[in-house]
Amino acid sequence: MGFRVGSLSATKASALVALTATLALAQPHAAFSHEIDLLVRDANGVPTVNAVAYAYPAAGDVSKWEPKPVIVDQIDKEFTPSVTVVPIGTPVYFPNNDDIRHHVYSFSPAKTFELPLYSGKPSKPVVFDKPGAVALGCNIHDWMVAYIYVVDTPYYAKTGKDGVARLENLQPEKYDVFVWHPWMRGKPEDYRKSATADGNTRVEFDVKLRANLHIRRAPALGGGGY
Amino acid sequence: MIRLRFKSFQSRILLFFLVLFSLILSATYILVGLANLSNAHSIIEADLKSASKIFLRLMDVRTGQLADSARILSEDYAFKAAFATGDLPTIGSALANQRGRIGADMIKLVSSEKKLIVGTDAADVSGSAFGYPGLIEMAADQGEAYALLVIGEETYQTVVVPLLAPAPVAWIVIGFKINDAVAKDFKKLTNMEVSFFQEEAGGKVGCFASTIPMRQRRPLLGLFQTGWKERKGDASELRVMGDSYISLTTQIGKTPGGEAAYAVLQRSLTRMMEPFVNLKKNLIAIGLAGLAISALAGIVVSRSVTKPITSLVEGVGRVEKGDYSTLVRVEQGDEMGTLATAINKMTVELAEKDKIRDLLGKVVSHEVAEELLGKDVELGGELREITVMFVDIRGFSARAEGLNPKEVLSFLNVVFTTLGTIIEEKGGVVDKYIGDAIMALFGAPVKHDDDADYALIAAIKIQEAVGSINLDLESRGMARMEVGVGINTGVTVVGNMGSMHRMNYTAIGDGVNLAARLQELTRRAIFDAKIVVSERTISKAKGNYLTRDLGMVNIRGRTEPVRLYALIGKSDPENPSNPKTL
Ligand SMILES: [Cu+2]
Repeated sequence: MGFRVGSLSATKASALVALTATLALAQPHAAFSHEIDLLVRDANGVPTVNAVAYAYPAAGDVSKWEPKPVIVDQIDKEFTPSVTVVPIGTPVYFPNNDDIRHHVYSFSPAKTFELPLYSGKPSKPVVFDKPGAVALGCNIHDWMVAYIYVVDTPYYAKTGKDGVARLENLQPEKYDVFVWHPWMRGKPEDYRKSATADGNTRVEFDVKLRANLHIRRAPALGGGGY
Repeated sequence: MIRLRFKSFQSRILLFFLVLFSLILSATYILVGLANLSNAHSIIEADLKSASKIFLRLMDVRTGQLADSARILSEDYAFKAAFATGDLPTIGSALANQRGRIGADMIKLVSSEKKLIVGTDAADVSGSAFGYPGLIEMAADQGEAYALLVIGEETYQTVVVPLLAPAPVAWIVIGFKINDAVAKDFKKLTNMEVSFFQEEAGGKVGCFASTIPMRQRRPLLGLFQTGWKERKGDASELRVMGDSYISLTTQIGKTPGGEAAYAVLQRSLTRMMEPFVNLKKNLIAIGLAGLAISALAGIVVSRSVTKPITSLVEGVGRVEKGDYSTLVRVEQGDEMGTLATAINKMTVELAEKDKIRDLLGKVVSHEVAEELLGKDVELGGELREITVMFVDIRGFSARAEGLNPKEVLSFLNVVFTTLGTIIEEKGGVVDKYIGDAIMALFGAPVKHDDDADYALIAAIKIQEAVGSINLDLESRGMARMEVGVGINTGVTVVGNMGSMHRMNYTAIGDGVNLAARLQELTRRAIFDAKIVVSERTISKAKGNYLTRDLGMVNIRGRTEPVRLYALIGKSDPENPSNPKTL
């Protein structure tokens, strides 16, 4: 019940943000497309994949954004992709591409929901209307884990295998940059850095990661591997 | 006395047997005892080591089971759903439900901020700081954490796992008690005593669970004294309430603060040695039986040795006392038998010899008998100067007429015995009795320096004795008797004379004849002498004697006259003017 109320207020907030963004577009801002590159590495210097990076302008509000639907697939009993970063208000579809049912859930405070055993594509998306990490699980496949990180900024990205994420469409000004990773020790605020998007900016983050505490995938019945 | 000595010989043999047997027995007893003890030691040590491995393995298995259960719980959807409600009573009751499912003794839910969300203990306060934040941190880093937790009076083997939704949202702390029941279970399995100790603040160690009674735990703490950490893992012997135990200390875990807990496994050496106590009893019984048997055997053997020896000694003792009548009886074919036969033969021969000696002593004088027995008897003699004495009892024939022959012989025997005794006392030898005369030799067969003196003194003593006899005769109203003595010293032939079958030790020759003649001269009133001595004897004598010179006298059968003396008495050397006369 409480969550529905929260969801409702989040929708209102998102409508407000959308309005603000429209107003911002009307301002005489040059549509520069500046970037900040981030390199995220763990304590061993190994580039960290699937780290979320996001930024806020050091002075002033974030510009508005138009939430676009996002898909978190279920293929071969895994969520794909395993980490998704979305701005507030983003509707996420959880299509089931397997020939068995899944039961997707989240008990995370940022978004608690449940898609009881289903197959195919649910008709309605789940709208993520609060910032924070949402851990997705499947009630019948313990190893199925995915994260949706909800940010309240349009400036976000995700590291690739090279540990590099690129924040794009930035104004040539100073930003506070944050990173998040599911296994990260500490909060994003602990890894805050300032960077100015003035052409060729590159920020390096050394994050401390914990062990992956997730359940390993069980062998399928009948011994057929996955 | 003799019997006693042989008794002791017998007991010496017996003692030897018994001491020997006891030595062998004691050696066996001690060796068996030592072997058993060392065997028991190594068996117990090996058992303790494998039991300690078993214990650690059991702890691992139990912890593993707990962790498995905890992991299942961490994935339990209903529990996650209950947790997501944020309603503490709901979460608490779900937790209690899970504890029942798993069979854990303790379960708590701790937030990522290390605050207690809810716990099943009465003392748990929601929202309070969890006492072991490091443990949660460790679990967050490694996925799981294990530790011994001391909560209140209880010690728990604890597992910490995340509550995965599906990322960690909280921490499940779950544990089982290590208590007396665990110790008891382990004892059932391994038959070992087990006690658990926990290091405490200030380097102290306390026992928190055990299979042994409370009052016996205290001595165990002695194991945790100086230097015990170095000895840890080595078995050590410990005496508790009079029983010996072998103990082995094994670390079983640590608290998050690094204080270790130990299991001390114990097995009673005393109980292990119990079968040996029976063996000991048997050994002692066998030993005593053996001792009794060897005592009996010893008695039998020593008897078989000492009995013939005893009878031989008794036999020889009888022979020593002159009793030849009883022979030794030893019916054995061995050396003892041979010895007995030899002793018997000797006894018979000694008896014969003694009989002969006895008889000889009666027929001839003692000295002659000794001379005859001492040397090989052979015919022939030697020339030797000796002193010959003839003693004649005078007036005997007249006396004989008035008496019956038996009385005559009795009287004669009394007189002869008296005179013979005097002669022998003075070293003379009665050579023979010739009617009522005695022929005596001084200097044969045994020669003395003072033979002449002995003869003279014997003659004086004889006259004195005759005086006494006469006093007795007179008192009885009987006629006196006279005794004439003739003494001569001269060279004679002495030796065994006769045939090989019958011989006499005697002296013959002119010296003997002259002595006989001198005796005859005592009858002559003209001389008035009771003792007539030749000049040769007087000159040979060393003592001083009162004599009367009878002058040169012609003797029948001799061409030369002989100077003779009448012996009157022995002169008193102290007072020669007062001669002691007859
Ligand atoms: Cu599924």
